[in-house]
Amino acid sequence: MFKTIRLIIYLALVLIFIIMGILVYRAYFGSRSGGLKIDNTAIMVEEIKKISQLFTTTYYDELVLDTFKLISKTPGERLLDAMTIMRPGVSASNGMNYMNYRRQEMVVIARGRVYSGFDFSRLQESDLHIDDRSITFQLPPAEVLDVIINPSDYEIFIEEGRWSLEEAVSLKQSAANLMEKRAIEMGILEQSETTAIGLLYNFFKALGFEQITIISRLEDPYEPEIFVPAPGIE
Amino acid sequence: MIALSGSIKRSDAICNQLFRNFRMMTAMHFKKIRLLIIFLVPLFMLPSYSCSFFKKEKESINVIHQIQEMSEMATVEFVVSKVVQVNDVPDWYKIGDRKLLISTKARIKAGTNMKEIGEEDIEISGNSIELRIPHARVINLNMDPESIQEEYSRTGFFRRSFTNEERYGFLVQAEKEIYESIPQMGVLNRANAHSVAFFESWLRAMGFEQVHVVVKPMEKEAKQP
Repeated sequence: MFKTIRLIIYLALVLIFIIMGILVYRAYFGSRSGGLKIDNTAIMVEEIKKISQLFTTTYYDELVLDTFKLISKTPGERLLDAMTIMRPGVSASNGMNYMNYRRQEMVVIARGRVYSGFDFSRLQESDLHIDDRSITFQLPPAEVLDVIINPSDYEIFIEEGRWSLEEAVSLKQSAANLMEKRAIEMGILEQSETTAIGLLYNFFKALGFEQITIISRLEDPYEPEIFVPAPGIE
Repeated sequence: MIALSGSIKRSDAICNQLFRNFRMMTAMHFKKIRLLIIFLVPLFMLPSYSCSFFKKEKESINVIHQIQEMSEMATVEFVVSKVVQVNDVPDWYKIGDRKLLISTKARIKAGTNMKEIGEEDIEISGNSIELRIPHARVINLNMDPESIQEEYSRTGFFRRSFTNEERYGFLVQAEKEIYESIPQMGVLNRANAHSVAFFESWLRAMGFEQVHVVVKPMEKEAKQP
């Protein structure tokens, strides 16, 4: 009789523990199963700008970046370490980590686009010269106009421990800078020149010009001014 | 002498016995002590999470890259802002709540695809010209990383703090909402007006006196976004 009552009490306790475990788990990890709601907020137009940028090239890239930080171990962790060493068969010489810090990693996958082209607002009157049926046009220097890694292009692959939004954003900024550098190395600016020359040549030709000269100048301090004749120049 | 060696041996035996007893006790209670410490460890671990002192960023592993041509003349840029407001859905089993406010800005550029201007779209007669340009379209939407800021965050003691995976999940939704609201902002109409102004001034600079730039209606299948 006594044994049966004890068994029932044990079973009841186990059941209570299971229920409590489920509740704590749901409260703690509830957000992953949609425990949060995003309120509908207004989108404010802050500024409307008149621009004249000719986009001629897009560079698509995907990068995997990782970063880590060392966190000082808590007294509890240090105690756990000490206990592990105390275990039979474990000694200090078998690779135990005695450091006072542990490593926390964040790995992200960033997919982005680098846009390059020309800012026509930098054009001056002297850049366009027309003489009857001939036109000479000096392109402004090709430049990277936008590097875009939007939140939908950014995947947090591993996130150990606590990382602030600023840290994640800073890693994203690094990815953007690296992407821009790689795009320039891949020749995005030279490609922009080629595309723009072809495009403007066809446009000027459609406007009735017979002799078309397009001069390009890459903004590189080590390179002299480059003269690129229009394709099929007459 | 013999008596002295005998007493030393006895004391050795006592020491050995005591040591053996201690080891046995330790072995017996080892599991209990370990269990106790396992329960206590989380209590020690609660504070000092944010004590990071060293960070290092590693170079990336390259995965993919591709260059593509385009011919878009961007004539308008809209800067919009949005506050992402995240609240907890109340539930009876939740102790404490989670709240988050992130402010963000997006730059939307729109303009005309110059490749779609063909010879058939240009009519010249003497010093007058009529140019038909395609309807403006969105070129890109850029949520600048520098503009993303966490304004406010609160998590109850019994609740998990927000991860960046969650934060970026909310930002993805904000990005989608901004993209979907582009038609209501009048971005394309403004881009059309600016494109007309841009081409008119360009054509005048090229020597045409009478300039007429017309925007072609948007094709149904090319409607954006």
